[in-house]
Order: sequence, then structure tokens, then C-alpha cells
Amino acid sequence: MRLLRIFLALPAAIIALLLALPVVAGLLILGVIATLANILSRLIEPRFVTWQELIEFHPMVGWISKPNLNTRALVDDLFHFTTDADGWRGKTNLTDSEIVVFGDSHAFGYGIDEKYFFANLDRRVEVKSLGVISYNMVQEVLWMRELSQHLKNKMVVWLVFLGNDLGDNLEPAQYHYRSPFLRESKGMQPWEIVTTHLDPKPWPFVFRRYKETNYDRLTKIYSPTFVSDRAFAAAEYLITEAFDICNRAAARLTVLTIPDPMILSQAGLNTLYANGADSKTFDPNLPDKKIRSICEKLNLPFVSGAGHFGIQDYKQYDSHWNKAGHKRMADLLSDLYEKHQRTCRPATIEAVLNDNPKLLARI
Amino acid sequence: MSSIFLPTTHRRAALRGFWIVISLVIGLIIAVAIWGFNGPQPVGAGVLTAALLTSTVFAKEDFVWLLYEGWNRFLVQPFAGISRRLVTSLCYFIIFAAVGRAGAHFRKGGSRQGGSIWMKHDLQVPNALPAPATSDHRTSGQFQWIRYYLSWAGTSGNGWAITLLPFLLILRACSRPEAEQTIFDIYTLF
Repeated sequence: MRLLRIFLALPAAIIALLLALPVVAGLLILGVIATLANILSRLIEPRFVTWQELIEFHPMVGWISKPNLNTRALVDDLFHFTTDADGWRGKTNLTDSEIVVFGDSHAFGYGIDEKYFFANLDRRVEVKSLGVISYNMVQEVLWMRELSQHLKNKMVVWLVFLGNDLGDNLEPAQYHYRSPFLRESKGMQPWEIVTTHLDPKPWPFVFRRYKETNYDRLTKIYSPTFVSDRAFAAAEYLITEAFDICNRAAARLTVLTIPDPMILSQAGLNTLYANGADSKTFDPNLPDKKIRSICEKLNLPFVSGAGHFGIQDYKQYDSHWNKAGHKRMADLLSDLYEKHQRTCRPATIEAVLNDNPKLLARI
Repeated sequence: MSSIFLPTTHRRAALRGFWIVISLVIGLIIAVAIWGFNGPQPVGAGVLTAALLTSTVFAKEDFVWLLYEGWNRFLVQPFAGISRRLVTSLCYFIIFAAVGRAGAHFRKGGSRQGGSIWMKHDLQVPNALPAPATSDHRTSGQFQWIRYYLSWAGTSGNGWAITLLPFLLILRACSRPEAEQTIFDIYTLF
């Protein structure tokens, strides 16, 4: 029986192989092209670094971008960027800047080449971006405190990414990197910033972040939940702190929210609904409403990014801006600066002269 | 050999690698055609063609991206679909039309305990296939399954199944690879 089957199978297989020859020829041609393309792409692609190689420990804020970088990293494609001696990105230095932008990787320009980075685009206004990958608002407030003497008479724009910043403010680590966070305080202030755990050693309790946990995080912030109540209360404390710092520094603060691209399209919303968000309680405008309300209490300028950025301004497979998004951000900063110039109280002649000793010397 | 599909990616290096290969192939075809028709300077013409085509990936990157995506969608995918159907039909031809003529061998007379010829599953039985969980191709190599297949064919008395192996390899070549795990997937911090 076994031998009979082999005797029947062999000639049938030979006939079948002959009939399959065109398929084999086609596979060879397509396979060779794909293989050669793959080999060539590996040969011509420049070396790049992972995001973990871009940051180093900092005792005040947990981590900072490495200084004097001139390298590439990978998002959907390689992007080239540089950092200055302090680890900040952008051609302008802090002293010469007219606008200072605080924020996370959106402010850092993660995913975009140097020449398309929003801080480098509009040379009519000098923009210094003080953004670092994965920062929360607590870290940004700490930098505002630290650099407050450099913010005098400048316009400060605070980018708040609504995808994760609000929740991250309450977490002691981002992946295994220890970060400053807020916790409820028993003292006079409702909240306190905690930095005592900052250490180069990895945080031992790491929650793996993947798509579905991100959906859950968005759902909890964009719906009226205990998590969002706590997150907005923490954000109010931080925005008030930032407002005080900028007021003391004679800087004008504007809060600009950046929407998560998931809420900018029906397809993104449907994905969230399919992963647990309740369409009855999920509100794509909830964080903006809450933060606007906080800013109004302080008479603080607020700009909702959802009114300026669309899904076309983001990368296809990532939550960072593409070239169009950075152009839009640059234009938005220019518009805000013009408004800022019009609404600023005119300086007294004495104040102008005190700030410009060279001008005083010429009179 | 890697898959016949180009990787789904936005990396410029992949686009440029693909387009340089296509430019060289077209340049080669032009050179051979000119040489075949005894035309002048076939090598020069081929090189010039390849160089001009290569330059388009820098000058008109968006257009070349369309061609890159079109390569998979309008050429490789339909070819793979037709090939899979054809080769599967050929496999059925071998199994049923050819080998099926030999008939099947059933034990007559039932099992030891009243009438049924069902047997309790036992991994020690020589005819049993190895458990799928042991054949993780990521840890044990892309072609480990061939070893398992040949081992099964030999030990189970189905040596004829070895004649299907070339067709199984063709089917595998026609299938789309699993989605690549790229580095940017790991970065979830914003």
C-alpha cells in the first residue's frame, strides 16, 4: 500500500511541478528583486539610535536629552536631529529667544528632521523649545522654576499632550525611568511634587505599555471617572504653579493642548469604543473643557489644539506631528506671538532702558 | 531568500533600495534590447537609463512611494493569490486524484473493547504529529517545520507526502510574512 502510494504520487508530482513552472519562475523573479532591495536598503540606511540612547539621568527631573547630539532615530522613518550643549533642540538659544516652548516629545520634535522642526521653521520669531521625550507636566514645571530667570519678558507656551501627560503626572516612573510626580498632600497645599525617589537605578515596578493599555488610558481621561477627576485636579495645581512662576518672572504663559490623534477621526473613536470606551460618557472635548476652565480662573490664555490640528498633521502610525503638523505649529506660534505683542501692556520708558543698557548708553 | 512581498514600511532606505534595484533591472533590459537589435552603446544606454531612473527617487519621492505600494498591491498580491490557488489545486490533484486511487486502509473488526475504532490520543503513537507548540519557528529556525514534516512522513508510513514538499514551499513563498516588529513599536512614551 505504501509503495503503491509512492508510485502513484511520484509521476503526479512531476506533472504538477511542470505545471507549476511559471509560478516558480515568477517567484524567483519577485523573490530576487525583494531580496536585493532588502539587502541594498540595509546597506544604504544610516546608523540610528534607539530613544533610550537619547536621554541620560538628571537628579532634578529624572532625565534629560543628552547634550551635543547629532544623530538619527527611528519613528516610522529615520529622522535627523541635533541638541545643544544643554541637551535642548533647536537653532536658537534660550537667551535670544522670544518664545519659549515647554513640553514633552512633541515639543522636542520627535520624529521630524531638523529642517522641518517647528522651532526652526519661522525665523521671524526666535523660538526655543525646551522639550524632552516622555516628560510629564511636573518635570516641565520644575524646569520653569529652574530657568525662570531666563524667561523674563518672553512668551512661554506650554504644550500639554492630552494623550498621556495628564495621567503621567501621577505616576512615579515612565517605563523604568523614575520621574517626578504629584501626590495628594496632607499639608497646606493639596498636592506636592515628589522627587525623593529619583535615582539612576531602574524603577522596579514596570507596567508594559502597549496599544490596548493606551486605549484604556485615553478612555479614563476622556470620560468623567475617578482617574480623570484626579488628573484634572493635579493639572490645576501644576498650571497654577506655572502661572505663578511665569508671573514672578514677568513672562506671559499660554497653555496649548495637543489632542491625541485617536480622537481626531471617527476611525480612532470607533477603535476606542471597541476597546471599552462608552460612547455615552466618552467626551473628546472633556480635557479641553477642564483645562480651559482652569485657565479661565487664572485669566490665563488657553488654546485648544483640537481647533488647529487635524489627523492629517500627525504621522500615520505614530502620535507625533508630521511635516504639516510642525508647519502648523510654527504658524500657530507666530499668530500667538503677534497677539501677545498686541495685548502686552506697553512697557514704561524706564523699564525699556533698564533692560537695554546699550540703548541707555547711547542716549 | 526573503519574502516576495516588499516590507510595509515608511523607511526611505527601503524605498530607495527597491527603486535602485528596479532602475538597474530596467537599465539591464534596455541594454540587452539595444544589443539584441545591434544598436549603438547598449551598455552606456543601460547605465544612463538606470541613473536617470534612480534620480527620480530623490526628485519625486512621493511618486515613487506610489509605485512601491503599487508593487505589492497590484503585482505581488494578485500573483501570490493566483499562485496559491493553482498550487493548492495541484496538491489536491496529487492527494486525491493520484494517491487516492490506492484507497485507504481501515482496520476491520473494531477495537478490543466493543465496536469502535477510535483510539485514545497518545503522543507515543508513531502516527501522531508533534504538538504545534514545539514548532516555534522564531526560536528554532524558519525551516524547522520541514524536518518535522519529513520525520512525520517517514514514521507514519506516509512517505508519498514528501512529493508535496516542493508545493508546500511554493505556498509558503506566496504567503505574506508576519508583520515586522519594528523598533518604533517599543517606544510608547510621548
